Amino acid sequence: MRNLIRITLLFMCGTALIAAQSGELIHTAAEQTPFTVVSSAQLIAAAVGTTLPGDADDLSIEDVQALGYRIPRRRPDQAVTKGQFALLLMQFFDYRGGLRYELLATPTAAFRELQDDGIFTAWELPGEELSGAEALEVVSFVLQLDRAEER
Amino acid sequence: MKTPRNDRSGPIAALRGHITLALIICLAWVTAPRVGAQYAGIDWGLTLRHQSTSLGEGEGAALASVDSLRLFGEVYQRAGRLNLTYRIGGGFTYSAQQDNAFTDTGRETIVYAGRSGFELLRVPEIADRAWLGAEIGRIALSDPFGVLFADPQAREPQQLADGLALNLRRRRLFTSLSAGYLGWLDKSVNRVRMTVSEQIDLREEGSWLAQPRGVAVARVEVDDLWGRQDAGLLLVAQQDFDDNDDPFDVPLSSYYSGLFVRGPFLAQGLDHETMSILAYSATDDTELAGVSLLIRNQFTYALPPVWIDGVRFAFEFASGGESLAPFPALAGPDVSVAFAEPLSDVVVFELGTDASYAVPPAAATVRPDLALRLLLVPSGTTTSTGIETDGTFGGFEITPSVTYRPIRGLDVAARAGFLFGETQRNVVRFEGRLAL
Repeated sequence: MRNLIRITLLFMCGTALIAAQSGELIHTAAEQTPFTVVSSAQLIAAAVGTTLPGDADDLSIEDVQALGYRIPRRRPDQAVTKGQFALLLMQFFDYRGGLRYELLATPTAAFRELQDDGIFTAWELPGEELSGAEALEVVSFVLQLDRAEER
Repeated sequence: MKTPRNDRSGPIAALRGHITLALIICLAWVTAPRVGAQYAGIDWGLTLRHQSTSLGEGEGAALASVDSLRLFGEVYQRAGRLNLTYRIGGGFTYSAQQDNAFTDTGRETIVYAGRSGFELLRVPEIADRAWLGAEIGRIALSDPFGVLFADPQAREPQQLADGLALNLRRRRLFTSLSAGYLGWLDKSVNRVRMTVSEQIDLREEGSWLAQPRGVAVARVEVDDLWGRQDAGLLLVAQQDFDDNDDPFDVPLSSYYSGLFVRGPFLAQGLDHETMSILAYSATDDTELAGVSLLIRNQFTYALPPVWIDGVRFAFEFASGGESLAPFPALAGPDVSVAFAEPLSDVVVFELGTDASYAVPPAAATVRPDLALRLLLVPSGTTTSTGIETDGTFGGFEITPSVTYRPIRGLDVAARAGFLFGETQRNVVRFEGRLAL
């Protein structure tokens, strides 16, 4: 019984800690304008569960590349475009795209896939930079779709 | 009676406007003011398609094939809250066999300019605020019913026109106004053909351009107007501009007004789509003048996806009055489409079902579809569709089809149609499509 109480307390503390770390990550992301390439990779990796939210800050572009993901050809501290963000999303969430994306996995092809699914609106452009708040909105929408599909 | 225009001929004439437009786009891109937040980029698209058709009337099959390539390129830029897109597109088709109505031009190769020009879009601050768009150049005309202008099976699926379009969307309201000139199109990609003689003109080698004609389209649509019903209004006007001295060339003007309502109907899973189009043709030619009516109603019942996804029942009535001409491309089911010009005086009852199954490789689907149609000809008038009417019976048609999609952007489809009237006729179509 004592062990069960310990495990429950440990789980509650752990959950609270992760929630606090997620909150910090979300808060940092929401304030960043424009959103950078490395921040995008960290946010998406945390959302998909590749890394814990608290460890996301330590994730470097080299780590992401070592995991086998294609990173847009920009400096990590440069602003990310919507196309590049879409490319990261497609890879981390392991989405299967259409023929164009499977043959030529470019930021524009990834963006068009997500635009077809309604994640980006008709007037958004793949070359457009996005803010941290917009990035959070997109990730949240993708997570909702992902959960709906699982159900 | 329309006569072919011989004043401008050849593919270069058809593309001349396009070359000029390309130069203007380059010039505009270089000299465009750089204000506000600037984002720029390029995009492109490509569709490669093969279609082959075999038609049979019990005396051997007539074959036709069309291989087509459609391309477009876009350069876009964002300046503040304005999206400016420079677009250029075109197509190339090759018909190795032309023994039936699916290749109706008599030309082996066709090169044409597709949707091209400038598009300006004012981006809304918040998604549900109004957005305004304007497009100028070679635009695509559209209607909410998808029966007047679009034809997915055609050489060029969109109906093109040289002109301008204005669009406004605000929350549930969508309005659109477009106007264009058809006389600079290659006649093989123009589907606004008002007379039988225009259909015959397609095989004339003397002219490459469509009849000089202006078209204006106005659309007002409201989503969820009442009881989750979407509704809309369509107005179309077309006017011939032919000014040659041919006494047989009678100018024609037509006016269409249409209404549609679609949405859920009573029971859960049951949807309906109801539309009606009233057309009036004004001309000195008594054979073409008059009022026409098209009514179409379709009920779709979605089933739990075990074996079939849903069943549909459709009713269609089309009457072109005495002339049977003013709805040249609307009515007429699959097999009758394959035999000369479509019916314009017909009642169709259709019962159909479709399904979708997941098959290997991952995310691949197979979509079978089956439609049974009873065709009645209320006037009992014999048309040149090949359906010899006996009183009011036209025929009975069965159309099975199957589409295999291994991945989005790659489709292989086979479609057959069997018409049982006084004589049996059949059509078998095969289509492969690759889109990037």
